[in-house]
Amino acid sequence: MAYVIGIDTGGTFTDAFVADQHNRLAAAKTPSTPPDFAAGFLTAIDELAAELGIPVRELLAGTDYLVHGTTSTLNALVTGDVAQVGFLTTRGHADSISIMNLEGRYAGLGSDDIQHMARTAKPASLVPRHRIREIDERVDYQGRVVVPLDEDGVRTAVRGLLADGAEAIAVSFLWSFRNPAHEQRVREIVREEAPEVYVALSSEVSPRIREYPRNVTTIMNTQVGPRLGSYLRPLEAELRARGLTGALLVMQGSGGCVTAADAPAHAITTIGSVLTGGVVGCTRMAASLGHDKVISTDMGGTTFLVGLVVDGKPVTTTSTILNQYTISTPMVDVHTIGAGGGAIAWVDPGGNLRVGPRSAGARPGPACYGEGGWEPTVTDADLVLGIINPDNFLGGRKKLDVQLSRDAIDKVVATPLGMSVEDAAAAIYAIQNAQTADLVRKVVVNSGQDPRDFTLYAFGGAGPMHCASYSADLGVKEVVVPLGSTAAVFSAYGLAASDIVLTAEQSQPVAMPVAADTANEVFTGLERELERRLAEQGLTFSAISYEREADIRYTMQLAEVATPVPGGELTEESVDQLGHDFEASYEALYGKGSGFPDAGLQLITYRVRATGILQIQPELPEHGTLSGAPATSGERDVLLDVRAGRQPAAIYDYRALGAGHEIHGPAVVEAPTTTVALPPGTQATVDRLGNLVIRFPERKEHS
Amino acid sequence: MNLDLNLRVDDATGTVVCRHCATRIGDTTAEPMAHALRHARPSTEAGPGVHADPAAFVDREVLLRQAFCPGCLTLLSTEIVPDGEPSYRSWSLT
Amino acid sequence: MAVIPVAGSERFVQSGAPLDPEARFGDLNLHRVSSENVDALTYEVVRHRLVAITDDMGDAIKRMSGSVVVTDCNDFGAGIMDETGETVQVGLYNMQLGSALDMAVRWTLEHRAENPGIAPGDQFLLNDPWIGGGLHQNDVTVLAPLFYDGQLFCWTGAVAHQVDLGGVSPGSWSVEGHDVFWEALPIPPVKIVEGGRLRSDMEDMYLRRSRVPRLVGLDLRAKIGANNVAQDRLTALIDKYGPDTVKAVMKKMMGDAESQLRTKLRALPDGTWSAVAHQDGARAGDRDIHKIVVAMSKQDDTLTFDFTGTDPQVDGIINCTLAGLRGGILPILLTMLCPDISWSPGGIYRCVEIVSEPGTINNCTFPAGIGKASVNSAWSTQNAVSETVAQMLSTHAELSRSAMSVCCGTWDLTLLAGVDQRGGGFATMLCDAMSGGLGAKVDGDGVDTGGENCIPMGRIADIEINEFSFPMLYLWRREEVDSGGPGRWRGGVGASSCFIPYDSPTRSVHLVVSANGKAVPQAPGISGGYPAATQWDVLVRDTTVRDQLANGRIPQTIDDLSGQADTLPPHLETDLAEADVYFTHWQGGGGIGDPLHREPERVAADVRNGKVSAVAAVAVYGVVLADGEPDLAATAAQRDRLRYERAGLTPPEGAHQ
Repeated sequence: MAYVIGIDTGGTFTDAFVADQHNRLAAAKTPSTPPDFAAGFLTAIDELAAELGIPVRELLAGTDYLVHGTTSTLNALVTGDVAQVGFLTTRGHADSISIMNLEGRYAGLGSDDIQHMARTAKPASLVPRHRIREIDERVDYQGRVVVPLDEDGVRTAVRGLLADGAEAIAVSFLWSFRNPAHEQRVREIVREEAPEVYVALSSEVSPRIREYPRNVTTIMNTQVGPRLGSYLRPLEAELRARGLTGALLVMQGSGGCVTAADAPAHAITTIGSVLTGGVVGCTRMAASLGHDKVISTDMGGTTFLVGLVVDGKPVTTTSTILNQYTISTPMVDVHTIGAGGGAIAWVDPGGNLRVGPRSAGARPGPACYGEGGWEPTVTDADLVLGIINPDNFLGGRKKLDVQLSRDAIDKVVATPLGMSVEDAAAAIYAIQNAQTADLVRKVVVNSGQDPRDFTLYAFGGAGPMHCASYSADLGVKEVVVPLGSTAAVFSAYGLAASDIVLTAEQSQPVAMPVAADTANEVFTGLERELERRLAEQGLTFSAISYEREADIRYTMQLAEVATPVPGGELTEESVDQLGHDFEASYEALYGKGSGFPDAGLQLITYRVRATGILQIQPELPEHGTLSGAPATSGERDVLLDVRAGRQPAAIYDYRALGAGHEIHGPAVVEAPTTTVALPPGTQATVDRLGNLVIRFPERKEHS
Repeated sequence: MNLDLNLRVDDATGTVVCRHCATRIGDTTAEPMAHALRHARPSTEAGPGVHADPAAFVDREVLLRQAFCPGCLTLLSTEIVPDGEPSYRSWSLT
Repeated sequence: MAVIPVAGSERFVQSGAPLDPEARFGDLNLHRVSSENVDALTYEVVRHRLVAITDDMGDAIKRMSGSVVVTDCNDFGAGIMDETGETVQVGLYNMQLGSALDMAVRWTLEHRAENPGIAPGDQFLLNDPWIGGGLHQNDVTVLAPLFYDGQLFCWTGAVAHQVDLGGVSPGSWSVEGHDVFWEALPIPPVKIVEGGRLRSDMEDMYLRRSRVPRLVGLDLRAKIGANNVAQDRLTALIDKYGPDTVKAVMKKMMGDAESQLRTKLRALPDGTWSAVAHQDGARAGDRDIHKIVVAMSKQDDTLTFDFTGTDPQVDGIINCTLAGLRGGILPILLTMLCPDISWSPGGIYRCVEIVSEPGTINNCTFPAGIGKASVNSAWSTQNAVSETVAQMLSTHAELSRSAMSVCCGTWDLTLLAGVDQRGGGFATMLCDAMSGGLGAKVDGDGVDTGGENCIPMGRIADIEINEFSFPMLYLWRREEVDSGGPGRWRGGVGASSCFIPYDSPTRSVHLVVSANGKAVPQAPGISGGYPAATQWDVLVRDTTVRDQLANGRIPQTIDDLSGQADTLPPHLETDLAEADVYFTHWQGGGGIGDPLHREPERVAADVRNGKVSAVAAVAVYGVVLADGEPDLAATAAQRDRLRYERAGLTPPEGAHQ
């Protein structure tokens, strides 16, 4: 038997999923076990074996590969439990990481925080001053050596750093991506001095123009590389001891995975590891349902995440912000746009009702948890409005106290505004939904898309209570609430269904048109590198594909637009065409007539993404059909639409619904992990995978 | 009421006093710095932050003017201004 | 030559006062509502959407602009104004550029409604700071009226700094200038877009004056695009909620901002706080010091800024118009008094009165030179206003947390022009100086290289981007020791850049330098805190830098360069030759409180981290270090000594020696 396993280790839960080549499926969910995440990982495998009714050794012996989404890298960076790094950089430029292009004072903050300028600050230094050494060396913008490398200076610096307790060394010189010789020579010198020490070169970790994010990326990679290695090596050894013969793969932020052996050298690519399983799962589901443009919204108790799938692929970004530092690494673009169900409702000094951006978090959580929260949250409003059944929250695992919600809303919102508790709750619900529509729309529009072309998927415990409302406002075509048997471990399913994806990039900025020879040389060089790295994974692929792109911009613009480049030999004509393609993408992003070819074009970065398709592609299970009309489990008064007010709504137990069943709002569907609100005017169908598909048959089109 | 890091109004008497040593600096909040010690020096004595002699750029002399608590000599105000200019930096409560 | 009044220029003046709400303009039908009444739910939903639309405008400008001044420095503004120009919402960009959009709309209504008319699909371009919009001619505004059901519903406006619009010197900051005729000439509002179509005659008229017309053309489209984005979104919003509701929300946003600011003002004591701001040198060769004086009175819930005593306007480039004066006030009101209030200048201005005499340096009359208004008299106004507002806030335990000492005292202009490494002409402003230091806070140090007060989200370009784009090679870019004002809490440090011309086929680069604060520092401290360091620009001629680089050494100090080091005056236009090196050191933020009260451990950490020199530690902070750690006994003795010495007193017998 050949199995594929996905294990997604989040901060709270470890989700697991297994499929065999006949699409026999099993799933498990166990608590995560920080700081030793490996324990929870192994427990999850035990549970999968138990679900399948086979011994663990038999499961592992039959496993082709096991894909791991790990919070390890992110967790290390967030908690600061990282290797002590020594940093070598070009003389005169050590302060790049403290100046932070000055954007470090506000990067990643919301506008409410930025408005309060006196309270903004830069984060703690990445590397203490005494572990930074400047080296005499200099390369210019064309890669020519201006100042030769001071090798004696490097040796002295390395010895000094090691004596000072540096466990790993990061090297980032100006223009090293144009000429990596100096960085490579530094690595040789470090090897001579201390062969065991982890070294990362910026010309390998992130060979892209812009030294500030490249410095940050290289340093963070060096901080987490040794830690990731010391997590994965014993884990892999333990799995081998338990019988694993196949590969252990680690999910990267880009949405594809690498082998555990290869991961530590490129540790920074695993920073989004735990976020991407869900997006990959979403991509697979979109393929299976025939949706080529999907907005994925994940509204949990404390966060609201948004990602996009366009033309069947997750929308990716080339940089991300962590702890106010800018990191250059290709990743699936997941935006955090709000505080989820924990968003706090409050009245501002002008007497206006506001929702968020502050969150009650996991502790104390909403008032209704009874854990000390006194401020009303969106979840409290949902409860007061009757959308949430207090006895059936999280499948009855958490009891909620409606009175606490009412008291909190009354005290903080209703009384100060002279409203009833009901009206105040309705306003909180409606404001939250409208804001969500604004913020989701911003994400979609900034990626150059129109929300009306999309299907929206609503994940998370809180999402399905709100999605029909914010989706109607966004104007999306339809809404899918994933509720099938794998919904609870959807991200682990995504891991098991993923491919190997490796990315190589190279900045070589030049005014367009670039010489075709140059472009051919760079692209084939990148593809050769990827070919080698794919081979090193030691896996069998059913297919391999390469996608090229070039980051192009109008001269001096801040941002480049990643423009697809055809494979094969480029000619002068195809380079010209590339310029036209850029302009077309540009106008699609920023509007017709916004392009201005007279400004001239510049090609900044070449990139190739290699995808190795793995042999087992688990499919989501079909949902059973049930005869007859859908049966309600009761009826209660619920407010689902602020204009309609509180009205009787049919309550359905999801477990009693079969594929093909159709429900009309006002209604509420209670599923084990969430509650779906169906306002009046909506129509919902259970699809063949068990998802609830919501449509708006009565919608009037807004322009 | 505190007025800043160094000064407060004595609520009983309405005088302005030093937060560090309680010395009276002003009899009323209309003239809060009346009893402060004042001293002026060439601006070049302000420390290494004054990079070049002002004479390189302007014809007027430039002074470092400071005011102190007469009790504990805490520095209450600092300004670098052209010589001969009245002190425009002042405040009063009404 | 004194500035000579120009008969006929009186028409191009806007007072800053709101228009009569009943006024009529040609046959325009203005959409007006009489009530701000709207329910809590609708208000918050529509308000949030209006803020999102302002955001959309900013995103559009940033992403479409080709100018680092816009894309990196965030030197642009975007706003939504009601039907008569009152500003409903400005974005988090350069707040100076959100301060006079109202004036520009009012003038346009008054002077363009009849001829050539204001119609759906029109947009107006202007860069006349006497009328409003921007602060100097480089700030070009594009205003778009939004019509709904045949009525003029509201306006949107986008304004951005353009790198060059002509005038004597590249960059349009003509350091030799005497009056406005040496500079880019102001353009009063002209119809650049008519019925949705960009007029090519107007575009040519506009671009023809620039040394970088392509760049300016790209930015023009960015601003038109931003207005288009906003108009689409606003129209959809009005479709959904109705014009009266949306307008009521706009009015209420301004009303709320006003009432919240008034409530806050009432929590502060009544009084008057005064300050002064100095600028050394009004033009190349000028050796005078020019001052702006402000007395800010707070009475109940109103602030009055009285600039009486400010110097008359001067022969030079540093004056600013009323738009600039307002641009000096608004950023401080927004960041220090309104961090938790909606940024609705139309409401905030109602709490403010301005007393200023036309003909003074921060309220100058035509044709005074205003080429550098934004970073000269407007910025100096901001410094003085900042000092008064921070002092006032210091009296309040909670509100003082929003105060900072004066941030980076001005913009340190380095303008480079010439032939780039690809053989094309270029002119650019080096934006490194955006990373000035922020002022100290009542409970903490100012942010090192944290930016400028008026631009909450500035950024600087990576060195690699600058070296790729322009013919230059950096020797360093670094935070500078002792550049933050000393105090109980230290001002944030500024930084410096040092570079050589590199790879230009002409082997040289044209350089325009313009920055004040060289004789009189411009970021004062408060509560005894010292000012930040003076501005310092040095041109080192005939160095051995190229030999040193070839020999494996990167010079790291001016002395290392072994050439002739000229400390530059505030304004200078010159050329950098192949063996020359330019060093530019911009300002930090002012300190707060007595530096002798700073914990010795903090001073020791500052010395370790290169923020404070060992010399300043002893001489200003009175902290004596031994092996990098404070020697507490020696520190106590040194502090005692300094206490007397700096007050001009002799230590008494028996004091520490």
